[in-house]
Amino acid sequence: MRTNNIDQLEYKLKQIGERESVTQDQQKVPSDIQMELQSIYDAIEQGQPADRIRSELTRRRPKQANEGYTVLEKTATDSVATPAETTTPGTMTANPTHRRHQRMIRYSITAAAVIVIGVGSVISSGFYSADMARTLKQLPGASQFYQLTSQWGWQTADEKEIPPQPSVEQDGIQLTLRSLLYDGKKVNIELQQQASKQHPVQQVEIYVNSRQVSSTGNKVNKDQMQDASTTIYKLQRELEAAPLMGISDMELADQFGQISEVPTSALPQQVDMQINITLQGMTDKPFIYHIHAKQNALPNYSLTNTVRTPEGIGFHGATVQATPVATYMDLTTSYSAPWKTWNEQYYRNHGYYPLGLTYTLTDSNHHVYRTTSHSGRDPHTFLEFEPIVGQPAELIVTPWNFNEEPVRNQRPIQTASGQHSNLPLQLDMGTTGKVTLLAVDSTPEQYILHIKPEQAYQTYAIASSFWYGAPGQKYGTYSSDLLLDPDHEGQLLIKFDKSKLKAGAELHYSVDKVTYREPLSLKRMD
Amino acid sequence: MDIQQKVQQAQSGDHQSFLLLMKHMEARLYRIASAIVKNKDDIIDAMQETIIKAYESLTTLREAAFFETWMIRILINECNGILLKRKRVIPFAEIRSSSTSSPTYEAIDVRQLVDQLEEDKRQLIILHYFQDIPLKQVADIMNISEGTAKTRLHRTRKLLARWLEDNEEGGRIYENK
Repeated sequence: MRTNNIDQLEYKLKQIGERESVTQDQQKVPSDIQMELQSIYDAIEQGQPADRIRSELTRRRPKQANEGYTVLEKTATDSVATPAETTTPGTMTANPTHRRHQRMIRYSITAAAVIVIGVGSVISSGFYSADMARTLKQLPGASQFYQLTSQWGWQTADEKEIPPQPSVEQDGIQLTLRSLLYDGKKVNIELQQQASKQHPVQQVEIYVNSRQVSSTGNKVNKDQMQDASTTIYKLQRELEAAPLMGISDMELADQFGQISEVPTSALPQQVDMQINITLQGMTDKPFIYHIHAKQNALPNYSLTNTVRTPEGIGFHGATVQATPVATYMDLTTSYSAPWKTWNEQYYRNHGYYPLGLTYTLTDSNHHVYRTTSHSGRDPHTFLEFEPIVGQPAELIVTPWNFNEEPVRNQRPIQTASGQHSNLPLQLDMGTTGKVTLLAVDSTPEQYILHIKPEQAYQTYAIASSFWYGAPGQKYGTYSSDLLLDPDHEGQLLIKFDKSKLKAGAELHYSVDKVTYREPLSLKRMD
Repeated sequence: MDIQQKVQQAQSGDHQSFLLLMKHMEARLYRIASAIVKNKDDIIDAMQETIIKAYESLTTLREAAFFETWMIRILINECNGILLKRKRVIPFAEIRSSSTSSPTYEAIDVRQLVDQLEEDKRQLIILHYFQDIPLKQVADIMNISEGTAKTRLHRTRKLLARWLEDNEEGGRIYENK
């Protein structure tokens, strides 16, 4: 390589630097961040000691100024939706630039907290009827209390109408929370929008006990949205364990400050959630839902014996927690001295470590599950896969990795006049295996490849081995989508979005040198 | 504004001078924090803690000339602490190999490749190239020797060049012969 490439890179990096410095010159610290800093500046100006400033900050966190309300035991509530007409947790932070206003907020909060504690003690006592609710509403200040509490998921007895699919309507847009699946670690959310003109989802925030457990940030990016068809919006959100459990991050951190993995069984079995959905063009009017979510138990799977590969990689145990949202695996591994030495040697030669092991999950019913996440350090690897289908008796984990050298040969698939007339075609993909390309369907939107792999566990390596590239151009694409062929058992469909392909792109496949390890069998724990 | 003079005044207990210094550094701290931790809450946490730490230990700074480097170093340490605490640590190899669903038809954005670097390498590139901080100062900030910074920068550039080439040749970020 590659002096030329390094020069090119240097040029590109400098270009980015120059571009960013121009932007940075114009870029100011956002006002909301400035406001957060201002409170520290105020304290410093007053000469307060650092410890006091820090403890004041800690006291103020979470930034929602509603700590007083959490003293209440919530009443049973399943789902309520309320339009966002009043203050939401995210907008209740103190504004130090307007101290008078800040003091007023503080007094209001104190007053509200007093009401909450007082009224809450009545509610939590259990002696709480619809009549009492109406009476309480007549108390001075109590109406505001009800307005706030209804936003945080509490309902008065006379409001206990629980819609099965809560909808919120604002400005002629009806947004329905069609379904919500919760497993402790994640939620799957499905929304439907009914409006004359669709407003895409801009932001999703989830609160539990007034603490934020998930946020998409200011913009839901395309990767976060699993489906954004004409009216249906599906997305999955990961939840932060500490606020969900009502503890601080520090309490979950190990001696290195790393937040520990928490199994779903240790996370709350049921929670009251507030979900704020902001649509594009309506940023000041989030759609707010209150949902009582419960975990659904599914069988767990376990590898009880130790499996050792010829290179000395040991798999000492694996546990799988299957939920309707995802399949979580905790794998314990150890590596032999020669394997570690080879890795170090590779690092010295190349400046980076070789690719590690990858794992494919299949089941005794021949389903293949896509890996969605892979984290952790040796000896523990945490893997996530799609939810398992049904309750198979056995799960099979196949470890594999790419051989580092040589890695790949790229081959075009011969076509006649742009048509794949010579199909079916058996392709030899080296150690990845053989695969039969049965057909290639072309629609205006996409190409659909019908393939028949020899072994189910090879599917993802095979799927990523197909790509479209234009002759004479360097760029290829792997933006394919893999799914089981609903009409033919044991066959797969690989979809390519045509809008992402360049003109004249042709189908290629790569010969990947993949090494598969001995499959691990995990039995269902009934 | 005479930074060194303000530092000395702040060290003598002049809170107004300290606040002026913070205002002077604020935008820069924000840019660096947002390049490293990205999430707004984390940026706020990192900046707040950096300011408090600077406030409580400014008197320990011996050379007023090193004030900016010293502040950035505190910030980087805070950002590193936040990154450590984050729940998901996706191994580097996994990011590089997760190619099945990543759209790579367009020329790969070098900025995205930088984001996939290991943290120490990423910070080196961000500080040196994107924040235009001289390598010597970057080395001071990262508490490494200038020689180490040079070697690390060389390796990182080589690695990025290789990734860039791999992407241009087929869209997959892994070793390609």
